[in-house]
Amino acid sequence: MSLKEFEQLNFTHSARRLDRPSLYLIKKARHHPEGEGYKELQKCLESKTIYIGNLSHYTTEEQIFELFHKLGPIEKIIMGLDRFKYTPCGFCFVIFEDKASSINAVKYLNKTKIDGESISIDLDPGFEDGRQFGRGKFGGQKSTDDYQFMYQNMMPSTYTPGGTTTGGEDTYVPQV
Amino acid sequence: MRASYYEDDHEQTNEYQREFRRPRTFKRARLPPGVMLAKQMLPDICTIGEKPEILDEDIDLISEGIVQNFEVEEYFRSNLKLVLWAIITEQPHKQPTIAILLMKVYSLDAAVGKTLVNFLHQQFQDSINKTVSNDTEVAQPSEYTGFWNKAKLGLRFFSLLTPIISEDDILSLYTGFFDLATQLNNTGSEKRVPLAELIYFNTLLAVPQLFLFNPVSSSTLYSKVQNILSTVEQSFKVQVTEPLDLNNEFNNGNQVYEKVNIAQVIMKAVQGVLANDLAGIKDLYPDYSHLLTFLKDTNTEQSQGFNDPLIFPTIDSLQKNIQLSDEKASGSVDGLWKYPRYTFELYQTNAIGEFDTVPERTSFAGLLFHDILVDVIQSLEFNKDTVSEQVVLINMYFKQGFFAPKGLSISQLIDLKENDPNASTLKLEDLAVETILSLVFKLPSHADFFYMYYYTLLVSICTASARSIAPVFGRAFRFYYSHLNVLDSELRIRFLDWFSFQMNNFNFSWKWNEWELDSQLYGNKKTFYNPKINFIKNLIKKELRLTSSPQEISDSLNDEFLQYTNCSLVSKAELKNYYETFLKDVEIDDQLFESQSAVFVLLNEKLPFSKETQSVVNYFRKKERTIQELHGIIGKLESEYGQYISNVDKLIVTLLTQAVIHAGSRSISHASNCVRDFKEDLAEVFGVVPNAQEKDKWVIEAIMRYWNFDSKTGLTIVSYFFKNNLISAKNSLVDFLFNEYETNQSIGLVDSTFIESLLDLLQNEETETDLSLYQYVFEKISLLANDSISKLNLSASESLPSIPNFDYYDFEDPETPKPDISAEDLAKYDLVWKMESSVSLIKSIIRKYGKKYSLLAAFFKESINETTIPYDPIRNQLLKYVDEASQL
Repeated sequence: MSLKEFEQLNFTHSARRLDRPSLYLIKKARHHPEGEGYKELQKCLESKTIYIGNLSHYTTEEQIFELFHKLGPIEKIIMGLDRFKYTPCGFCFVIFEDKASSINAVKYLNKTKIDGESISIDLDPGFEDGRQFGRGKFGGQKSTDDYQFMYQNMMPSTYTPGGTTTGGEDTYVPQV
Repeated sequence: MRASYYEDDHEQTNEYQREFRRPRTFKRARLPPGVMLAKQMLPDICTIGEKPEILDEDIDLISEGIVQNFEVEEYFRSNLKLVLWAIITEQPHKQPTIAILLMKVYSLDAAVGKTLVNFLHQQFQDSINKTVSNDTEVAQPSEYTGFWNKAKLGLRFFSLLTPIISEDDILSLYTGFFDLATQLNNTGSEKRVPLAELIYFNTLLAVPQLFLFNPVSSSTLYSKVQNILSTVEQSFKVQVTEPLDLNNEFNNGNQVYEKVNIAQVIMKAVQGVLANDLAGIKDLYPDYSHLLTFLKDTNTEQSQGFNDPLIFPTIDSLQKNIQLSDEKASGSVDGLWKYPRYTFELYQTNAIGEFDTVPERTSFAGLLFHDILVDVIQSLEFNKDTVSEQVVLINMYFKQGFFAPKGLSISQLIDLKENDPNASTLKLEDLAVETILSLVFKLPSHADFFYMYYYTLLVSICTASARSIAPVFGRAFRFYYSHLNVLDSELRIRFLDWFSFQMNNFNFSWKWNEWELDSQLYGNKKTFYNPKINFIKNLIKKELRLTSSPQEISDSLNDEFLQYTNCSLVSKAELKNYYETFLKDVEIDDQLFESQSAVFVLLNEKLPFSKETQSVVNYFRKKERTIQELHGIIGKLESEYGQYISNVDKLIVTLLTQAVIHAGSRSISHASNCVRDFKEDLAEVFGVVPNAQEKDKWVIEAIMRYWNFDSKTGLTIVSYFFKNNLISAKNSLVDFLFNEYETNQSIGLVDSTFIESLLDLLQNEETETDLSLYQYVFEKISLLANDSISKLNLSASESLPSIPNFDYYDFEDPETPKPDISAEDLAKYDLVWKMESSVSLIKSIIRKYGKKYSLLAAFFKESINETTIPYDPIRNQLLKYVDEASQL
């Protein structure tokens, strides 16, 4: 078997499956030596762990627990931390007690909002120590490096950090 | 529309292409033509008919593409076959357009058409074969709806192909299915046979499709069909069974609407739609005749049969799963037939305009729409985004004007109806939401994980068109809120989950003023068991757990509801009393109990032994330690501070428990790690306590008093203590959950976190043979019901006091006089609600753990009598539930 299994078109269903490895994971797997990438993606499908991104820095483990435990018992939640400041930096890992729950979480809860942020959920091959820390230049997530650079270079008089607890785009509030 | 499928159309950005776009490399290899064609054409087949205005163009272009490439491109050919079967079984509303496409292909090249038909027939046969060979050990994916369901959709599709397939071949499918259903039904000897009813209903529902492309009642097909139907009407008798009380969504046998068994009405519905020169079909489906002109040129004499006749399984081979008792093995849709299926009614006839917004549920259209939507929801469960798109566009596949224009509000519909009495008032949004909620509020329940899928699906639908869908949700919320008094306990939790999830995704916005009267009448501690007040309390508590900004929740509430943002489990006085049960002659600062966060009272510096408490906390933060250190601190506490301690054992257990969770108070994972790391130390000290049950009680109390403001976290930590064997007797938790604090207040009957904790406890009970926990829970809760009756001073057969209904109250009209209820009446009503909550909770538990309770049935039948449960209505109701447990 090879990576093609994940790359090729699949018409056994009339719609795309949401519980497959994301494009990010597939791209990452391509950089692995021959065969390793495939194994990594297979591991994602067998894993009980999911990755959650785009979290507000204020979101707590208890909030994640409240939302995700309805899908099945949770073994552990590991909050992603800024590796210099040891503060939450917008991602976490949830390890379920069974793999069906992790697959269901990816299928169902992707794009759900927590603290006003639309979270992104991806399969994960499994947590290893050290992965809880941001890999960005400034200690946070790599993807937020630009933002952090901007943030750190802003004049205090024009920008007050921490002024809002719920970020994200404006949400239309429907009248029920 | 593209000119040809060979052109590389860069503008097309459909879902498949986004997902499977090849990586951008410098030397990009061209895809082989077959792959390129499949990549471009097959997604178009998946969406065929979604834009009716280009349907004819699509049919022409795609059919030509298929005919030209079918023989030469193997990759394309094999994937085309797969995708056709996938659409037929996953998106059944698209069957007519797929059938037209197939017939067009047949008219262009009969050989290609025949190959496709026979491939689909083979898939149909495979589904039927698998109904027998289905190995229950093989785990099916969560989108698995059941092989009978696939067969149903296969039959429905082939019924559309009457213009190109011989009538006799298609009708032989019907006679085969009806014979099978009748024979299976006869094996039941007057008892309901679920599989027989499933096949009977599914087959009948497909009949009108035979005439979709040929709605002529003077045809030979019509008379043959009428003959088959009259034979079935004589031979198949739908067995009427009384619905189980345990499966009633409403308590005390209440029926909020008239439920109709759909198997009993399907024959009449089908005959109705076939009557009057097939008027029902012409009113429901679009006129496709302009797309079928090619049939005139096709030689109908050449109508072909299938390569092989369909082979049905034998009655004996079907015996294994004839009762459809295992939902996992039967599939999510086939499994629905385990119990008789009834109509579900949420959007009732509009009281203002006296019109319906969903098709009559017992009509053919109502039954068909429900069936299609359930199939789409369940079989495409792996892609909620597609489901949320499809359920609100199925109107494209039905006659224009059958539904009202999308997005019309009820008031706009009233205007529409006034201007044009013949205009349709049916709202597709109502139909889609009602169908999803029929799955959410179905009893007995699906597998737990499905509910999160339904909630996210509802959110996706609302997000896509918030303005038109939000009021539809609002009406559903109001329906369930107004029926909370009679709603089943398990469904109350589900309603809470759905409501809170919805609000979490839409900035917690709700018209709270609608509920003000309830809060004014029964809130503010006037009552404890009122279901609506408890729903409000649980909702606000859950919202607070879902956000990191409590202020945001407070800002979203009216002043009236701010009182419920205090999440403390027990009052300050109760907390103080608790600490005084093991301390004496010490002054505890009242300020400590004001906080809305975890407070470690024993660490307060005003307490004489606060330093020793700090030493214990420090001990639980150390990596390297010896148990002697801990013994040393405990010894010092006993010897030096004995005069301040009234119960040494309780103090030590409480102090250690609270110290370890205080050391791990940063988060629940942290707490879990601390409990795991120090379990041996704790076990050694706890082991000294002579009464283990008493120790368990103290540990649970210590955790819950520490987390008094956050019961969910407290109960999660209690579960970690169970996991690490630091609490052994599960009865201790049951005692704690249903303990009656202050006067007559048992939090376990009203708090959602307590009820969930009880359900988790029962779920995790591993022993198959020991039923003592189930018995204990039943007895514990029934005592609460007894207690309320004795406090009401009712004789065994006296009626309960009736509770007034203030639904007429208009919260928007300041002139309406506000109702008033005396304190004495409130106390009476509260006892009634307590009794009803107890019985409802028992009902939910018996249903959820029916297998266990069926084993206890004989015991309960003997032990439940006038002495153990003196009030006749409760006793009779509970005996009925126990009796029904064996029928689950």
